[in-house]
Formats: sequence, C-alpha cells, structure tokens
Amino acid sequence: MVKNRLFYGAFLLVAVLFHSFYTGWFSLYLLLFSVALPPFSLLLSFSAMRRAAYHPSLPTRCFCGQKVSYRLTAAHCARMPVSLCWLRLTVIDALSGQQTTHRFLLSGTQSAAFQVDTHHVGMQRFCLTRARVYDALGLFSCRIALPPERCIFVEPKPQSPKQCPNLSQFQYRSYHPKPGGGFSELHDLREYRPGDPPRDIHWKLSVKTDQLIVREAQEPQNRRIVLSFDFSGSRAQIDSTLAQLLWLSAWLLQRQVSHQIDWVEPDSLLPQTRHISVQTDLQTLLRELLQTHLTGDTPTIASRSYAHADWRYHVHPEGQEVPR
Amino acid sequence: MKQKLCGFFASFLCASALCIGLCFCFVTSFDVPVDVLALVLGGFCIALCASALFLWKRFLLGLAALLVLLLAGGIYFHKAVLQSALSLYAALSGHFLSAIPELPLPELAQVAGQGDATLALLFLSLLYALLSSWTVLRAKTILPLLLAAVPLLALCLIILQTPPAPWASVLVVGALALLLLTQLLRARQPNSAHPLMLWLAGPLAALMTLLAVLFPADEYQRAAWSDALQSTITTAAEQLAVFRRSAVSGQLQFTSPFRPSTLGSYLWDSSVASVDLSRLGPQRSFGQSVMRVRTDNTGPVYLRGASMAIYEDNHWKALDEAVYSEALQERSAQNALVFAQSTPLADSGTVFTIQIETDMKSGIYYTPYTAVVLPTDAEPYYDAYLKNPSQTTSYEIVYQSQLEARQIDAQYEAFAHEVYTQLPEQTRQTLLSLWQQVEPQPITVSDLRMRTIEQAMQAAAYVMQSARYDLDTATVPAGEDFASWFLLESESGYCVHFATAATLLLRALDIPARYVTGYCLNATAGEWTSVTSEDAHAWVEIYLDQIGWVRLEVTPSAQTQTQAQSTPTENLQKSEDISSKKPISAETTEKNTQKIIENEAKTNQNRSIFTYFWPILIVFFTLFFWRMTIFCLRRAAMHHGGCTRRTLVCYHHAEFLSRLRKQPVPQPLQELAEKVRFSPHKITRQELAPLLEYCEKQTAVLLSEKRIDKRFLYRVIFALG
Repeated sequence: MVKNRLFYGAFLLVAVLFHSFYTGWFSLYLLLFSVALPPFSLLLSFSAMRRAAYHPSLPTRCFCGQKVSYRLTAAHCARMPVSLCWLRLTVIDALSGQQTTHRFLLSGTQSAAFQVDTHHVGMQRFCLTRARVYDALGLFSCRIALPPERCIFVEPKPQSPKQCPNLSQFQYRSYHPKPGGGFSELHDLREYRPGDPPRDIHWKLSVKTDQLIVREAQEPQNRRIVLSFDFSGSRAQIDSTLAQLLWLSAWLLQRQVSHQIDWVEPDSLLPQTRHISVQTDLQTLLRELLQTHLTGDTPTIASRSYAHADWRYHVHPEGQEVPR
Repeated sequence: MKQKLCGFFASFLCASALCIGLCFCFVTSFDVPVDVLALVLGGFCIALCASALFLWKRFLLGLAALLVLLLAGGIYFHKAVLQSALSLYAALSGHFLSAIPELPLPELAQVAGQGDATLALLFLSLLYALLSSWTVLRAKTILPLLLAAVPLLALCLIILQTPPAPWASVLVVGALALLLLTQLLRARQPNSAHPLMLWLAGPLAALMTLLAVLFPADEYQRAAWSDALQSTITTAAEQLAVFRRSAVSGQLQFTSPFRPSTLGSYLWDSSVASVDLSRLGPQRSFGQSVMRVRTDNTGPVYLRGASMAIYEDNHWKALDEAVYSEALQERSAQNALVFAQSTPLADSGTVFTIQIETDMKSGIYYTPYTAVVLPTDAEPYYDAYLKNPSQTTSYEIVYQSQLEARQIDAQYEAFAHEVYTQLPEQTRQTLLSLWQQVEPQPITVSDLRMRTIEQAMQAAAYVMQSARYDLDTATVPAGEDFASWFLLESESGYCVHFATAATLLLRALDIPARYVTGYCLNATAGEWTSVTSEDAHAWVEIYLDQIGWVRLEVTPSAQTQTQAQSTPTENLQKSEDISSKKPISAETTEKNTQKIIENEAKTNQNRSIFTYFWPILIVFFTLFFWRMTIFCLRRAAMHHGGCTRRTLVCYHHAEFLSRLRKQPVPQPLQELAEKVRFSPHKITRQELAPLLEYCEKQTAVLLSEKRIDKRFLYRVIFALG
C-alpha cells in the first residue's frame, strides 16, 4: 500500500500548500478534512480489521498430474466489509527444499485459489507467512491471525515397470509344513511316516482308505523379498521410480507377499529398510519418502548384494539404462 | 436484486451530491441567475437516470439514446439552450474580468445579457452525473472523476472574494471522499463496495458537519501559523528561483515567481486601473499578512496605494494617460503626488522613517503621506501612484508628521479643479438634492480654503452618519447608481461605500476629490507592526489650493459602530436619523416597481421550458419512489420475519392478486389463512411455501399482460414487479 500512502502524502502536501497560499476558508477546511480523514477511516474500519480472518482449504493427498487448488476463503466476522487484505503465501516443496512465495490482495469476501503444482511427486507445505489487513483508505494496517499450515502429498500413480520382472512365482501362494507341527488352519494330508505323533493321524480317512493318513499342519512360505530403489536422478526419474515401486509393492501386497523396501537415505547416506506387510505400511512409507529431502549425490543401492534374499528387484526409473 | 439496489442508491447518492454541489458552487460563486428549485430537482432526476442507466447491462445503448435525445432537445430548444449557456458564460466572464482585467476573455459576455442559466447547469450536471455513476457502477478507478471535478471546483475558488457557498463545496468534497474511502474495495469487489458506501455516508456526513461547525466559514480568521508557513515556503522557494538583474540598480536581485501580489486581497484593491463597484458585495475577513511596518512614530499610519479619478457606470477608473499629457506636463502632475520633490526637509523632530517589508510582490510603492525621501527607483505615475518597477519588497521612506504649504503649479490646480470635480450629471443632481435636504449649517468663514475645508468636513460627517459600518453589505442592485443607492437605500456599508459616496458628494459641491486605496494601521514606535488584509482601506483625498491633496477620512470605524450598537437608545436615534435622511420619492418607488415587473417578465420568459417540463419530472420522481417503497416494503413483509405473520401478509396479497385476476383464492390457501387467524397453530415454512408460490404465479401472470395501461398499472402503481 505504498502507493496509497504516497498518494495521501501528496494530497496532504497539496492541502498544506493550498492553505498557505489560499486565504479562503475552504483551504483550512480541506486541510483539516485531509488530516481528519485517515483517523476517521481507521476508526470505521477498525472493527472489520480486527475480525478479518481467512480459512485455508487443501486436500491432504492427490495424484501426480491431478488438478488441485489451495483455496483461501474469507471468514470475516464483522458486518462491514474488509477493504483490503494483503497475504503472503509460501509454498515449500519438501523433496527439493524449494520455496516459492505468492502474494494476494483480497477485498471484501473475495477468496483466492492457487493451483497446486502436481507435476512431480512430493509433499508440499502451504503456509501463510504474513497477512495484513488495511483500513478503507489503505493507509493503516494490522496483522491477521495466521491460519494453520496445510500440507498436500502429491503421490505417484502406480505404474508397472517397462521390463517387468518375473513375478510368476508370486502368482499363487505356496505353503510349507509348519516346523514342530501344532495347530494350523491350513493342513496337508500324507501317508504316515514312522515318528509321526499318533494324534496327527486322520483316523476317519485312514479307516476309509485303509492306510494311515496323517494331517500335517502347514504355514505360508515367507520368503525374503527385497525391493530396492535409489533416491537420485532428476525429479522425473524419481517420479518414475516411486511410481514403479508403488506398483510392485501394491502387486505383492495384493498377493499377500510381505516384502522389504530398501534405499539409501539422501541426507544421512545410511541404508534404510522398511518391512511392508499391509497396505498401511506402504502408505506410511510413501509419506515418509515424499518428505525426504533430496541432496543430489546419493549413492546407488543397486550394487548391494542381498545373499539371504529369496528374490530381489532394484527399481530403475524410466529412461535409465538398466545394468545387466 | 439487493446488490443492484445498493449499487443504485450508492450511485444516486454520489451523483446527486456531486451534481448539486458543483452546480451550486457555480451559482454561489458567480451569482449565476438560476431557478434554484429547478436546479435541485433536476439534479436529483439526472442522478436518478444516470444511476439507472449504468445499472442496465446494455448501458452503451442507453447512452446512445440519451445522446440522441440531448441532440434532439438541443435542436428543438436551441434558443433557450444558447441563451442559458451565454448567461452562464456572462456570469463567469464578468467575475473573472473584474478580478483579472488583463484576462483575454472574448466580449461574448456583454452580448449575452441577463438570462437563466439553469439549462446550461443541468447539462453540466448530466455530464457529472454520468461520470459519477460510471465511476461507482462500472469503473475501477476514481481518477477520471477527480480530474474532471477538481478543475471545476478550482474555477469557483480562484476568485478569493467570491468563494462558493461552504455547503456546496463541502458537498463536492464529501462525494469525492466517499468514493476515495471505498476505492480499494470497489476496484476489486464492486458489489461489496456499494453497501459500504451507503454505510459510510452517514458517519462521513457527520464528520464533515462537525468540522464545518467547529470551524465555521463566517468566523474564519486566518491563523498566524498559516502566514508563517507561507513565509517559510516562499523563503524555501527563493533558494530555487532564478536571480534577475535589476533594471534600476544593475545588481542581481531575486524576484520570486511564487510571491503573490499585495494587490488583489480585496476586490476594491484589485487593480490600479479600475474598481468595479457594482460587484462589491459582502466581504470576508481573511487576516492574511500583507506586510510588516516599522516606524518611529506611534499612531495611525495611512499607506497610500493608488487613487482613482473617473467615476462612471459604477466604476472607479484611473485617468487615461492621454488626458494627462494633453492637459499638463508630466512633471507638474508628479509634483502634486510626490511631496519630497517640492518640499524642503523639515526639522528632525518632525521627520520619521518608516520601514516596509512585504513577502508579496507589488507594482506600486505604499507610501505614507508627506513623504520626503522615497526609494531610489520610485517612479511617480502622474498624480495617481508611485510605480515600483523592480517590485522591491523591502524599502524605507522618510516622511514628515505635519502638512506644510507648498508651491504647486497653477496649471495643475486648474487641471485638478476641472478633472476631479467631474461626475455623472444624474448622480450630481441626486446628491445635490440630498445635500439640500440635509440642510447643512451655514459656513461663516470667509477664507476660501477654510470654507472648502469646512464644507468638506460637513459632507464627510454627513456620509459617516448616513449608514453603519458593516462588511456584510449587499451588492448594489442592478441599474442603481452606487453612491445614490448607498446614501438613499442601504443601511450599511464599508470603506468603499463611504469613500465613494463622500468623493462624489464633494465633487457635487465642486470640491476636487478623489478615491484612494491603501492600508491604514496603528503603528507603535520602534516595533514591527503586521499589516494584514484586514487593514486594507479606502478613503478620500481633497485638493486644497496651495497645499495639494489632503487625506480625508470618511469611514466610521467598525469598533465605534459596535459600541454604538450596544446602546439601544442610540441605535433608535441613529435609525431615526438614517430614515429621516432617506426620503424615497414616489417617482423612485414607481421606477423600482416597474423594474421588478420587467425582471419578473424576463424570468418568466426564461422559465417557459420548465413550466412544461416540471410536472413531468415531479410525477416521474414521485412514481419512482412510490413504486420502490411499495415494492421494498411488501418484499420485506413477505420474506422476512416469522412464518405466521408472513402467511397473513401473503394471504392478503394473494387476495389482492385474485381480485385483480377476478379469480377466488384456492380453498387450501383459505384454510391455511383461517388456521393462522383462529388457531394457535404455528405455520411452518413448508406450509407457507404454496402460498408464496401462488402469489408468485399470480404476479407473473399479471405482469405478462400486454395492454400498456394495465402494464403501467401493475408495474408502477401496484408495484408488482
């Protein structure tokens, strides 16, 4: 509102000059009026200024490429409309650490909508860092209570890798005998072998088949599955990596295959491991990943050997040559 | 709908305030002859139309139609429009020419004559109403309106002596302030700005009224700090100005372009060439500092400016240079003015020095009487005034305290007796008959000079007693002689009136006399005395053979008048004296009556358009407000408040609509009304809804009527939609 203040200053100066050189009553009246006008404006606008407020709204998550807006809605309590509000919105991209500032000038019940940049995955924080409300003439201002910060997670859309790994072994579920026996919902039947406990003998079936049949307790075969990825490359490559990772992990979870996801933390450069058994684990991990601060020189985890892993797959982003 | 109504009223408020304010600034500043009622109501109607026009989506179409209408009206009433415009121009140019005679204005004013300028001002109102409504309803900036309104206001303020009426200028400032206060909101969200404008109008009006009451225009006295501020600014401006070489001394001297002239503070003091007495009306006191004076002598000091020789057509005019050059040598005329060149320096005890300092530029030197040492570059303009070619602002003059006899050219004496005893014959006759009625005391002195002095004193005494001193004296009526009117009819006057009347009376008595302007102050020895515009004064100089021009004071001081007014018996006596001295003959009364009749006939001729236009405007205005009030009240009653009360109101309205449509109200709705009337049952919104729907349907059917008379009846008289 520098413009308004300059304009008023010029007006006051003209009024003073006018009064000093013009001897009529009107010059005094104009001077007095120009002096009285700002306090008058402040007095009348004060109530509206004190009760000015804005309510931000933003969805907590969206997919990459989806159109989403950060909206500031006027929530003024006073009957008199607010003349002007000046708001400074800072958007912080958690992955790149980049900050962008946007300014809004809103009057009355005007609301502002700001298009969220969803070209790349990551968490974005929207916070109003400064908000001032002005009087009717735009000369005086006071601060407005800042609304809480809002975050949005721009999630990748699951995308299958171009060269899909051999997942045939996960097409159906395999079981193996439960070590030590005991109770299980699942069981298999086989011929009696010496040493089997008599209580495991399926007597009814044995009578029918005229040979001893044993009920053997089974449990799912939990093999060690490892998915790994690198937090490096361009933003587009990271988008692609996370999209593929999400697809693979979701595919495995659909088949109730627990797995672990490994990567190198860009900040500390320490390898990280998360076990994914259910969908919630995947969501938690994804939120964690979307807040990770990228440094740009993160070493790759692709070369790391997982000797004890039954199956391991390193996710390569699209456009990156896969090492053979 | 509500937003539109708010917008309409906000626009109407601003447009009407601006139109009426600006028009009356003109009317009150320049004495524009108008029909006040027509102007006020016309202004309201124009504001109403302009607001309605810009509320319409296709306002450009409306503007085009309005332009066509205006053109058609202009062609049809071209004579009246032209007469009105010329009348406005005449009023404006007359004032400007009297204040600034050098202004190169065309002589159109004299052709125009007297007429009614209402039409021209209404056209001006239309332009400003359109601009104002456009600013409120369509534009996002106030700048065009400011640029258009401020010059017009400045035009009215530029002549200090004829300021616009305070209420008119305050109205304009208020309208502009209202727009400024809502500018921020209007630029971004006009719909919210309109209610704010209506909301702010009350407090803003209160603030402006408060300021006007606390600092009333009538009691305005310019504060000392204002002059100090002006002095500071001027001094600061001097630092930036260009130094110029003085034509007299050859030295570099500063002549500030910012310094105003000491001439022009009052209308009678506005020029050394002429004074228009017919425009002298009530005077305001400004108290503006004009100069500072320091003298060795304590007492009243008269600082002479310029004198006027010719009285004609209610004007004091300076004598033409050709008259001087034909009649006498320049030197002999100068001798009569400059005491110094013809008189030897007296004893040091009676010689005083006066120092004069002014912040203002002036083309003349203000000198005390009997000056013996003048500034080096002082150049007498014949016998009228002392030129100040370098516009020196600080000078010193030595003068004597006593008037002494001196040798004056016989040629000049003859010239003075011939020129300074001239006055219009009719005025001479009037004044002589008046003088005879006064029955002056017989003069017993035999010496011619003393007889002259005695007679002059008697004349001065008569003029001083003829009216009371009052700055709030009205303008001389059109066609009246200034001096005769003052002595016969006016009960009050100020220095110009007294000095003019005395000069002319003395001339009628064959005593050479002239009208002089300057400053009169009470100085204290050795101290600087501030001379303000209040000290500006006019007096008389009479010519005494072998002595020269002698000052004669004929104005009773304002202070004396105040004391006199405090005693009722004296007042009574005074009023009796005044009335006894003003016998108004039957002939004069008859003449005045005839003049009034002629003026009324002229006014009636000018008002002929409004005789037809008036009723239409009033009917239109009344119908509009009638319709709006009925519609708003009904809407408020039907849509706001408790459901039970609303049901009753709706049912009455439904009955009314049914009567118009000649159909009975449906049975279920009648039952609902009975339920409301006779049972304690409270009606819900769901129950009320069919009744509202019925009313809306009936209204829609009635409004779709194709007959014009019925449409007018339903829409305007019954205000159904």
